[in-house]
Amino acid sequence: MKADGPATDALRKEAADLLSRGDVGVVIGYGRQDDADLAAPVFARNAEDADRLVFDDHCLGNLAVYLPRSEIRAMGRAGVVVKGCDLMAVNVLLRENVIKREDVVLIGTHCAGVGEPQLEKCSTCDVHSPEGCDVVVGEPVDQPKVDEEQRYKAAAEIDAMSVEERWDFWRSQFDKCIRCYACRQVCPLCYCKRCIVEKNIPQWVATSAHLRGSIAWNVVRAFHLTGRCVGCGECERVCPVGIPLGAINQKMSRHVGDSYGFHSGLSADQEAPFTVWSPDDSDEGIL
Amino acid sequence: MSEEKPKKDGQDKWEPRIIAFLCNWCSYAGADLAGMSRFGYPAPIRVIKVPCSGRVDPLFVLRSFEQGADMVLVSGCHPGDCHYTSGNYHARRKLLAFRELLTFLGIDPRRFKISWVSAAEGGKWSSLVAEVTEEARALGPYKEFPRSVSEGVSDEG
Amino acid sequence: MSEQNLFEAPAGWLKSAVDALLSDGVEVVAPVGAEDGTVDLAPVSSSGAITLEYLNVNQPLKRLFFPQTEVLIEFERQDDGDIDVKSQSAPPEEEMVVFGCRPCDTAALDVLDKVFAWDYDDLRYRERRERATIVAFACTGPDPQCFCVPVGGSPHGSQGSDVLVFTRDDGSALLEVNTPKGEKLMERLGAVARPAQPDSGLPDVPDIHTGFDPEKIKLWLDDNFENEFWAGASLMCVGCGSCTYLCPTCHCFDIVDEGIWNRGERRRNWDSCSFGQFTAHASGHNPRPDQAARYRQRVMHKFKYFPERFGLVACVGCGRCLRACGVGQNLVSVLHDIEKT
Repeated sequence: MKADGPATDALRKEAADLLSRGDVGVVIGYGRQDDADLAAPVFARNAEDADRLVFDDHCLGNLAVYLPRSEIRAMGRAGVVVKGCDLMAVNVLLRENVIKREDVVLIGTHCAGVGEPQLEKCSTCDVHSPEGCDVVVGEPVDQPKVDEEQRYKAAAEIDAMSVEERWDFWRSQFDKCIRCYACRQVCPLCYCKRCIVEKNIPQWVATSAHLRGSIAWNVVRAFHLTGRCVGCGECERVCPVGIPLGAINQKMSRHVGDSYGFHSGLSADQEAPFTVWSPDDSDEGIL
Repeated sequence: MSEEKPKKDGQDKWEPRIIAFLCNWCSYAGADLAGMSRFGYPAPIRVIKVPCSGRVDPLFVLRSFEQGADMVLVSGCHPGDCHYTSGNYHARRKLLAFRELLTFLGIDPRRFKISWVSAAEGGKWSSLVAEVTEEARALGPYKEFPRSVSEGVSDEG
Repeated sequence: MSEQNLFEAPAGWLKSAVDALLSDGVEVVAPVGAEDGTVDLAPVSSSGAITLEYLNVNQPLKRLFFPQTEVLIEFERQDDGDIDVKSQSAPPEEEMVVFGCRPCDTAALDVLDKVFAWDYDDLRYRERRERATIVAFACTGPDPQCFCVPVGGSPHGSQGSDVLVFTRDDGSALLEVNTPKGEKLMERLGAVARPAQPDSGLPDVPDIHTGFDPEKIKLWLDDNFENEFWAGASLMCVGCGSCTYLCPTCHCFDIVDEGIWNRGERRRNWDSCSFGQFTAHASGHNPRPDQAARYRQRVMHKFKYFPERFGLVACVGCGRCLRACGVGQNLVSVLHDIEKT
């Protein structure tokens, strides 16, 4: 996908129209920054700004993270450029009443996958063409059939270890954690005004970057996203010390998928697995 | 670690520390009945009463391990019997998923138990505690888990 | 200092030096590669673990002297109600030799040295610094994110290093000794390196293509605490701490007590001005209410407050903040924008 391709042209036109009509106060999209590998966000406020927008395979980020922010809300209705994977996060924000559908204009992009080399998640993507957007730009992409096992590959590799091996593995991973909270801050679904780590009466999760604190933090992060995470992979992508957070998210997604038939982010009308229950849920593992 | 220290009463045998979160309406009453019925059960279990198994935040489990627990048990009403109609149904989904997470991270799932014990099941409570205590003894001290302070929890606390 | 400050070392010198130090019981810290391809400074037990394939180590040098978390004191309530307080023992006294950090990271030690010996002499930091001899490797291939030159550094900068090593393609090296500590190390290494001929030229300094003028930037910062620029410049920042935690000069910390029942410990942990909670008051008021105020603080601290107080910019141009940022926030672009206004 080229930055000067048809997707970019259509995107600029749509954004300029929305902004000049006053339909939105801002369009959140991707921009080109010299020759950087990562297309950084652009916040277009008027039709001229819209010319800075691009869509190409450097557009890795999930811009849904900006929708709940007060700075963005203050600009009025927001247009946001979403790939299929990003749209799943928007669906959860809608489902959880964080944003209202009428407050956002969803500019979807057909996407064949991003990153050089292509991100792992793109090989198991089944939302190359986002559905339910207000407009969609770019060339439609063929939707290959996704191998379910491939989708959970990272988790399966770790699952294949013994419990002792897993402990050694994760202990060495969490030992690296520097508690920068990049995983949390970049996650569109980590929108809590005050994270549990920041609550100190009592201090549930130690803030120190020792193993105990970092285990607690990573467990809490993973569990708060269980049944909500859409697998956009941003947490793992931004981790400055390379902790494979995606594997944990995969594991928990698979658990709620296998146990409750739930796949987060497919629509804004789903009921999340921890907000509902069934008398027929399995009792396996309960004494 | 305090596990290695001799007990106050002169016993030098190590005993596991088991933290049990019991719902007020069923499991706590079941444990009470066990006592009233003079059903014996091993002493290493420390009971914490909570209104409902649904009240048990997974962080309670994690904090218990941090503060020196060798095993954690959460027990509530049988499905269908919850005093609040559905607390234990929520607990079931939440705690089983939590155990999946712990297991995936290499935190031994045998150290985190979930059970249903009704107010009438004094006998079940007694045999359950005997069973899990035996298992905890066999598993030994949970030394791998990073504890809150290097010395472990004071028994006198 | 003696006249002779340039030494010639044959290929394989690093292995000989590290093995000699290790057998003397000296702690050696050197670049080690991880499975995921990152390279970080870590204690090594043999010279075989060392890698030389890196632009810079992933995490900054400051970790060795100002660890991310450390125990300051331990406390315990006694049976009589008194609180028994034990200072955590001082860091180990044995020598440590650090190989392989880059000139930008050693220049950052100047910044940290000033702060930690400012109104309070930070004993722990000082002791760790004193026991360490720093053998930096001059930079041969800076990347587009590197910008040491505009902030007063150089790929060949010797600021903060005891010995600076210029490695040649054939593995041999010129060692430039900059401090008495460095001299002592060279004496100890003896045969590993011999005095270089006076005409031994240093390699050419690689180019750094990024340019800006910190003084010009400071002039603008002096007048623009309140400016809409900050809201725009920080809009993409999601407020994590990766730039500050990977920054070799950022030095803010938090002090927390952790404990249970009757005992616990007081720890010093890194903290970050990017976090909302960094300035949150107990009342709920937050004098830096938004990311704009927080980002402004980061730029102001590095390019205005620190120069005013200590006479140098608190940025060494290592480029980690640019590389690490998950959303593409780019300090250099922001500085360029400031220069243009």
